[in-house]
Amino acid sequence: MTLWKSMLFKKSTLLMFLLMPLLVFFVVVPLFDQTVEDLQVAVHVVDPYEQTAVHELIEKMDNPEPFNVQLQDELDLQSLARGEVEAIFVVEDQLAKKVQDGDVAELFTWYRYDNSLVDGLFKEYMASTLMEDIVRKEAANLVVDEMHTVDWQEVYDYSSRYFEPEPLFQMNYESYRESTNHSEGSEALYPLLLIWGYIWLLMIYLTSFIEHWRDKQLIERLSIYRYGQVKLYGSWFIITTVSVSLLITIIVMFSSWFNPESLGLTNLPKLVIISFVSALLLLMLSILLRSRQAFLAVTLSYLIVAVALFMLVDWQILESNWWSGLFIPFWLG
Amino acid sequence: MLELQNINYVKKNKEILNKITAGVERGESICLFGPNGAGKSTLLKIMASLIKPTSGKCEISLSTPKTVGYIPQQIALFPNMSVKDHLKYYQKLTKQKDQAFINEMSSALDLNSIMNKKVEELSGGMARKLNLAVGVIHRPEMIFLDEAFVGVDLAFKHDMLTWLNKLNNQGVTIVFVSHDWHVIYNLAKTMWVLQDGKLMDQFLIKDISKREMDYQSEDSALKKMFALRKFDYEKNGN
Repeated sequence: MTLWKSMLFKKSTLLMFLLMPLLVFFVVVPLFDQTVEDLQVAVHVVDPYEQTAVHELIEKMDNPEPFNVQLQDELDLQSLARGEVEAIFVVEDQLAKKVQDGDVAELFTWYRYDNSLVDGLFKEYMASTLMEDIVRKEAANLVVDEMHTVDWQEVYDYSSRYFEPEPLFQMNYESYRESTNHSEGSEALYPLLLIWGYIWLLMIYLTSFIEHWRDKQLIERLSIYRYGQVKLYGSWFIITTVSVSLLITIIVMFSSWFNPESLGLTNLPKLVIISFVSALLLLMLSILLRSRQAFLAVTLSYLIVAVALFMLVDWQILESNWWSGLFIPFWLG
Repeated sequence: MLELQNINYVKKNKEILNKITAGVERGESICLFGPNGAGKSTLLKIMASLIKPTSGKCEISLSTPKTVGYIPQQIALFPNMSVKDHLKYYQKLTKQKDQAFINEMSSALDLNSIMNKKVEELSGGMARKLNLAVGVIHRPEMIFLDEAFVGVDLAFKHDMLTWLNKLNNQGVTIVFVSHDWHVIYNLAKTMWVLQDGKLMDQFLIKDISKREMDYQSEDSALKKMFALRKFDYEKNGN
């Protein structure tokens, strides 16, 4: 208990322990929320003249995924600057008449931000929908000009069949996804990877106590007593694993409460086990590598290499092999 | 009680100790004396079984195994642990149940007034006293002190020496490393002189005046150290 107080009731230790929940609450949980929201890319279509043709155009587009099309009557460029909207399309007055007359220059003004990425897809989709209408109306105009007896609307309706032709043959379509590690499941492992990285860094910090005890000849002094060293190392291991496991439990429970999709409770045993293994590995390294510099070089390199390999395997750049078992992040899967 | 036979110690191809043979009897109080790099601390650690010699034998015969106390050169304490917690921790670690002995020691070393203070709040002298207390809390038969009096003022030194002399009079064997003549005169009965890893001489402290003459003709660190004897001893008011 006294050693427990000595290790944990220290300003720097408390700060290190508090950083973790803060990291989860301010980075991991919002990341999940944002990811879910970001699946829908917001696009504004601004029509200050409230035209029926614009309503019809949007209805024809049938709210295509992943776009969330919102019809507005005022231009709000601030929402674009804040990144809330991917792009804004402002419609000119008398859209229907202009299309019917074949006056198709500058029907829309397209506003986009430097960071806008996928708005070009929406533009193409909207243009193709509009183009269909323009072509049909242009065709109807031509026919009526040549044959004055025919009805414009009849020709216009008739022309739709050329955009929806009867298929000459049909083809079966089946989606195929290669069975790899990279899936929605592996993306859910990234917060766990982040937490393991933090656990690893936190434990590296906690090994500084062992370093300090060694420098101060405390470990040497304790070797006089029966199992003195073993008891000290054992105490460090127990204090470290119990406190880190407790912290992880609190974090996982709270984050599950706030957002069940972030860190599932089912991941808790996995995280506790890797905490124990990490602590054991770091303790052994701390005993073997007596120099702090060597210890930091090895442990930080392990962290970087483990995370990098995990990502490379996840992105299918590298194949998982027997060696992946040597790196703790691979145990998260 | 403790026998050293032909002790050699080599580290990184450097000979630290060279063929040391000597013996320590129960109730003795020995000062390992010599210039820096003579091998005093290494010899002390070998005697305390903290390190193994490269060759030779160090045999220790105690009534119960491992009842030795070691007080390192550093203040080997937990910085943010209180004095009381330190005593409690070492009491538990060594399974010491003799609370009367701990109370007597706390009183002799004047630790009662600082019981609730953390080590980081203690002065160097106070920390040294606690360093001694936790090293002897289990009432060892043999105590090894490695420059345990560095930075301690005369009043605190008096407390520490009085307590160690009391233990020595009760039959506890003391082996210590020190350059402080005040400590040597007040604690040592015998002096072992080491130089360049060799045990040059062993004599009773009462014979020091005669033996130091042997080093007067030499142009060595030992000559200077012995020359300081009178100066230091007189400076400290003895």
